[in-house]
Amino acid sequence: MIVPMKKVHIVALKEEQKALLMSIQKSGELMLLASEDVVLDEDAFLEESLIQRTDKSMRFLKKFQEKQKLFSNYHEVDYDTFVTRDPRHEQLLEQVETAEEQLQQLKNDNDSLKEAMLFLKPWADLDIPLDGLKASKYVNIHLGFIESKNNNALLTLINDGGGEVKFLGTSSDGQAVMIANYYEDDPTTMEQVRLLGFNESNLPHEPLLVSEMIAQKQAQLDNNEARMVEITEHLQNLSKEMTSLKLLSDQMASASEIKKAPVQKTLSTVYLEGWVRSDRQKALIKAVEAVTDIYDIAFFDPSPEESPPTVTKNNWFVTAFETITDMFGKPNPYEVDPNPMMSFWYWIIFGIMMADVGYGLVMIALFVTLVKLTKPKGNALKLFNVLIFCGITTVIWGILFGSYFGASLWPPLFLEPMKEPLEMLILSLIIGALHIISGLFVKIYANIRSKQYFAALVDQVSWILIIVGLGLLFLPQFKKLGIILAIVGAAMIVLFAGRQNKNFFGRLGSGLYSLYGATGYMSDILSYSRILALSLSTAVIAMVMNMLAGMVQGSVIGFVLSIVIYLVGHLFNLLMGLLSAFVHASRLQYIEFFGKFYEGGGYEFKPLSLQLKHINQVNNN
Amino acid sequence: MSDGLLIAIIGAALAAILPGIGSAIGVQMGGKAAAGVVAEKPELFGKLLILQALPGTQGIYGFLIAILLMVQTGMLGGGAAQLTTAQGWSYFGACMPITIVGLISAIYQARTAVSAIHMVAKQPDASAKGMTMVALVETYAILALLASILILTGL
Repeated sequence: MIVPMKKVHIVALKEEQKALLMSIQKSGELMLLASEDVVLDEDAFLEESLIQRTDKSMRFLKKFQEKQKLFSNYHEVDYDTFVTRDPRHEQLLEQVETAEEQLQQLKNDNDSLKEAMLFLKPWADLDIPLDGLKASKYVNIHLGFIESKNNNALLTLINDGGGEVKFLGTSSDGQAVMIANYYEDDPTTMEQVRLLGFNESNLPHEPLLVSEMIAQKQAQLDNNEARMVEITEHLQNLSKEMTSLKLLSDQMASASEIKKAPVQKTLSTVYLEGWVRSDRQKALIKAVEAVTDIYDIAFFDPSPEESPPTVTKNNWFVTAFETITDMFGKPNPYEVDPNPMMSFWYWIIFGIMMADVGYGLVMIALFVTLVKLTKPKGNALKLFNVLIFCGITTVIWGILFGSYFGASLWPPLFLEPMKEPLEMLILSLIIGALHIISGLFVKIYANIRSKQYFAALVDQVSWILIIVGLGLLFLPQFKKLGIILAIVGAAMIVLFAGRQNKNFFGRLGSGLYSLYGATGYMSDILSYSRILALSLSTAVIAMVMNMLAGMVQGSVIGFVLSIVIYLVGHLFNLLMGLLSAFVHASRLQYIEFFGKFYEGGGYEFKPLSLQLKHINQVNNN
Repeated sequence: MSDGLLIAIIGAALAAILPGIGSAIGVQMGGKAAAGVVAEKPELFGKLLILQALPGTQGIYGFLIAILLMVQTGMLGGGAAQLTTAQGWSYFGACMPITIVGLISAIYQARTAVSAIHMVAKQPDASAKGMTMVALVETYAILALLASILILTGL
């Protein structure tokens, strides 16, 4: 059902604003209304930048965490710990940030060192300190690169000119050479040397041998590497305190919520306005009383032009399926909750689409384990529960269709889709007709609730008569009854569907046009043939996998291979089947079923509450 | 081998080939779009994976018909039946609905999936709506599959 909401006004003393908001946040019962008159005198810049920094550091720190057990990320704290800011957490954050910066610095440093060493390497054999390579009185010296294929040409050229050439190492730029020329010949010789593709290089003027410089840089590099190992170890130690960062991030998110809460103020009072569930008013009053005796609180029913948020309250079974509806859109707060009816049909239809005892059992085992290990919350938990529940119907339909991992261990109790596809098609369409009729019943209920009895009769009952009547035509003994029902239904539609129209003929005309909606109902019902298609596809592929595995059996290797085929094949089929069943069972609800009555357009109830993104549970004490 | 059996085999092969090609193209299109989004928003991976996988079903449907045909004609388990040419053509015809519709619908479904992936990138909460839009395209592949199954089992 949809829980009625109350609007609430709270007035309290200004000194108690923070305590009041924190108490309300702890209770998580009040969704504050943002009003245009609210001017925030505090911004949450500090908190938000802290959140960003912690989240960034956590991502960084994760790389240094030791391999931990899968799914062991469950954290609980006490409320008092949660609201107390611990300076050590921020120190930890700073340590992580400094370490990250240092690490980055060292990495950059190493990169430039390596580059410099690469640059110097071809010159390592020079046995003169670099600052000694200046031009002297009679000799000009040139250092540079030349393509190795021109080595011989260069050698002849320089030797002919009376100079000296020394070939050093090679690099991607080519052959490193040192050329010495008599200063008078130098310009002409160099011109020819340049024609051979010579590129002059500039080496730093240091009083050192190149090999010494390389050794220096190597030492620096080693030193840096050692520092990096140190920092990495430090970070590995820090990563053990990841929980503190998680706590800090959630603390700041909660604190920023409080600061951003829309509160209106007078000189000495604060005024809060918001929505509360009508069944939780007492809890809210209690949260206010916990901090102050001086307050005023008043509850109102929402006026018709106001739209409160939507909260649905259902039993444990239906609650899980709420997530399917919410993915499509929340119901609006004034309509009938579609979830109770929808959950039943989703449950049944998902089961037929999978329909295999083995797959159903695997689904139950798999998702129960996942829930136990990951302890999900909110929508994720609901979705897992939906899949567990649907595992049960998968088993039931599997027994009815006699399918056990695609094999038929026992004969089917009901029918075998692969052998009797026509019967299965009829079953699918009957389920479709019933599903659509139940959608019309929800609308009838809604119409009766709003006292539109006549509309319920001519807009919904008429269609039910037509669907049932046309269905009965297929049973020879009820043929007459079917014809009568269908004609009565059609007559009701022709006569009354256009009742807003004053003109009699216009009314008849729009009534006839409404009857044309029958094509819509027909295509809706035919759409359920997908149930047959999907259940066949799961069954056939399971059968194929068994057949493939059966074909390779016969030897020991074949036996092992067949086990691999069984495992991989059925896992693949299970996953694809889950995807298809999830998507198409949802679609049948959204389009065929919701189309008959659902309005939607509600929004979520998001109360002021503790923001738990990383911490799983805050215990009240 | 009779001509009829040969024609039926060609039909089964086409049913496995063409929708498979369509699905491969479709999943590839979805994957490219999804990879771009995941680069920026890794948390959307799960939602986008579903959208990417949706155009993959046509390939499975085609494969399914190929297998059903092989079972029907006794090619799998037991000796293959000696089909007349007319019988061969009717098996071939039974394969055509899913062969043709599967190929084309997979590609068009993928286009919708790409749009839905872009929508989810901007509005992660709208993933179920995107899923529904993409699933609507698949309806016609499912109807073609049904037609193929019903013709095949009617033979």
